[in-house]
Amino acid sequence: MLKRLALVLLVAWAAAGFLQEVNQAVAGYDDRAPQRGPWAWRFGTAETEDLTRCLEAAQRLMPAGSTVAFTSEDHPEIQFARWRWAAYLLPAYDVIPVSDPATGTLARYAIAYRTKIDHPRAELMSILPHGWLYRVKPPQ
Amino acid sequence: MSGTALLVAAAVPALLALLGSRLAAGLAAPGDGALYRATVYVLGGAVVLHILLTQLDFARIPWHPLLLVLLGLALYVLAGRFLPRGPERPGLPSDLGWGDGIALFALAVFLLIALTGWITFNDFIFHWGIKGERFHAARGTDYAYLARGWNWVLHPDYPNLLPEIYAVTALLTGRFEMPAMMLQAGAFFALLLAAAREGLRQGGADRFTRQTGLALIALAIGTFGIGYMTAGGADWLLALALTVAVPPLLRPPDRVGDFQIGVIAAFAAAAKMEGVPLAAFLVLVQWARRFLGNTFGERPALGEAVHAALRTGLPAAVVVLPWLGRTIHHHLFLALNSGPFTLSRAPGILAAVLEALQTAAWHGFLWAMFLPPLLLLHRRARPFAIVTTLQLLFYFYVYFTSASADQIRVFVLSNFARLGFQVIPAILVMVLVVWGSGWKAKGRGTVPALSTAPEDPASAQRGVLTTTALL
Repeated sequence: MLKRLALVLLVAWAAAGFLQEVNQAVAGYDDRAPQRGPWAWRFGTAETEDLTRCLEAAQRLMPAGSTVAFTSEDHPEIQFARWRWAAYLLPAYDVIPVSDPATGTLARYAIAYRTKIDHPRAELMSILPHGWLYRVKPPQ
Repeated sequence: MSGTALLVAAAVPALLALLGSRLAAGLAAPGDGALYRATVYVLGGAVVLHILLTQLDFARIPWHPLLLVLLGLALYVLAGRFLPRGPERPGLPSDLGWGDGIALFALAVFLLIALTGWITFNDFIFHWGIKGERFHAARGTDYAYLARGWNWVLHPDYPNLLPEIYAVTALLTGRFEMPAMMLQAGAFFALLLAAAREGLRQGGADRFTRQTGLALIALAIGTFGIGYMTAGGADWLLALALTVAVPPLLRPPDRVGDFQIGVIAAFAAAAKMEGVPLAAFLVLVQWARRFLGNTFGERPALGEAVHAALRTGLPAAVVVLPWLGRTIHHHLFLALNSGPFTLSRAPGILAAVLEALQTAAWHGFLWAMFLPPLLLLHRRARPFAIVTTLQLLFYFYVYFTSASADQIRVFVLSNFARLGFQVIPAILVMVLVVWGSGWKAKGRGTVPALSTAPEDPASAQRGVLTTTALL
C-alpha cells in the first residue's frame, strides 16, 4: 500500500512539473517572450525574426556557395550565438565570423548586423533590414 | 509548412520500421510485444539507413531521393526473399490503461509545442540542424564543410545519424523545414515510451506499477523535454537506445538478445559521441553474460561463442569503423575533446554537479542519475546497472580530462542535465522493475508468462537454466 502511495505521489509531482513547464512554454509562445541570454533564443522571437529578415534580404544578393563573413556589435557570447543562427539561416553559404583568420582570404561578402564595417576592403553593396551587406574586395 | 510535408516526415520512422522488420528473425523475441518490436525495427532500419548512406558516401554517389527509395525498396524485397521470417506477429496491446492515456497526452503536448519550434534545442541551430541542411544540400555527408577550420563549433567529429535522418526527411519532403525535423523528436519520444512500457512488462512489474511507471516516465521526460528545450537534439537517440536495451538486458542472454543489443549499440554509436562508449559497454556486458557462464557454471561452446560475439559486436563495428576512418582521414577530431587527467578539477566538478542537480526543468528527477550503482545490488538489474554505471563514469572521466572542461563550472552546467536525460528514462524503468519485485534477487530471468521459446533443443533440456541471469 505504501509503495502504491509513493508511486502515486511521484506521478502527482511529475504531473505538477509537467503542467508548470507546459504553462511556461505556452505563455512564452503566446507573447513570444524575449528570452534571457543567447542560449535560449527561440524561433519566432524578435531576436531571431529580425536576423531572419536581414539574412533573407542578403541572400537575394549573394550567389549560393559564397563564403560570407558575419559580424554583429554584441558581447562576444551573443556574437557567437548570432553567428551560429546566421549559419543556420544561410545553409547555402559558408558563414564565418569576421574575426576568423580565413575571412581575409576566403570571404567574398560580409554581413554586418546592427553595426557597420569600416574597412578598406569592404565595399557597401546594400542596406539590409537591421544590417548592411558588403562586397569584400580581393586582397591586393 | 504543408500537412503533406508533415505526413511525409511522419512516414520516415514508419519506413525505417518497415526496413528493420526484415531483420525480424534476429531482432524479435517471441515474448516481445508489438510496440516494442516496432521500436526495435525502427532502430534496425535506422542502422541500415546509416550504413547505406555511408556506403553511398564512400562510392561518391549523391543521396538522390529516388535512389534512396529504390535502394530501400530493393533491400526490403531482397531481405524478404533471402532472410528468414521472424516469429509470429503479436497483437497490439490489449491491456491499455490510465498510464497509457497520460503518456499519450504528454507525448501529444510535447509534439504540439515542438512543432512550433518554441522548444527547439539550441544545438539544433548550432550543429545538428545545420549539418542536416548541409547534407541535404550536398546530397551526402559534406566532409569538406565539416573540415573547415571555423566549423569546430559543429562538433565535426560527432557521428552523423541524426543529421542523416534530417537530410533524408528533407530529401523526401522536398526541402529542409524545421517542423518536419521536430516531428522526429516526437517520434523518438513515442518510441522511448513504447520501450519503457515493454521494459516494465518484461520486468514483471504488476499492472499498477506498469501504468503508474509509464505515466511517471512520460511526465518526467516530457517535463524536461519541454522545460529544457530539447527537441531536435541527439540526446533523445541515446535515451531511446538505453531504454530499448532494458528488455534484452533483463532477459537471460539468447540469440535474439545478442542481436538486439548489437543493433541498439550500433544505433547509439551512430547517434552521438557518448553513444560510442555506451555501445562498447552494451556489447562488453552482453559478451560477459555470454562467456563468463551462468551461475551453474555453463559456458557456451567455442563456435556458439564466436557467433554470439559477432551478433553482438558486428553491427556496432560496422558503424564505428567507417566513422573512425572518415574522421581521422578528414582530421575532424577536436583536440578540445581530450587532455590529461586533472584530478585537481574534482572540487569544481563536485560543486558544479551539485548545482546542476538543481536544474529547474528536471524538478528533482535528475537525482535518479545516481541510482545505477545501487542497482548493482539487484541480480536481474545488474547487467543494466553495470552498463549505466560505466556510462556515468565515462561522463565524469570526460569532466576530468577534456580541455573544454577547463572552465569546469560552465562546462558541467552546460551538459550535465542533458547527460542525465540520456540515462534517466531507462534508469526509471529499471528502478520500477526492481521496486516492483520487492528489492530482492528473487526474479532471476524472465517471468514465466514472458519466457521466450527455447532457441534449440539443448536449451530446452536445460529448462530452468535458460531463465537464470548470468550476472
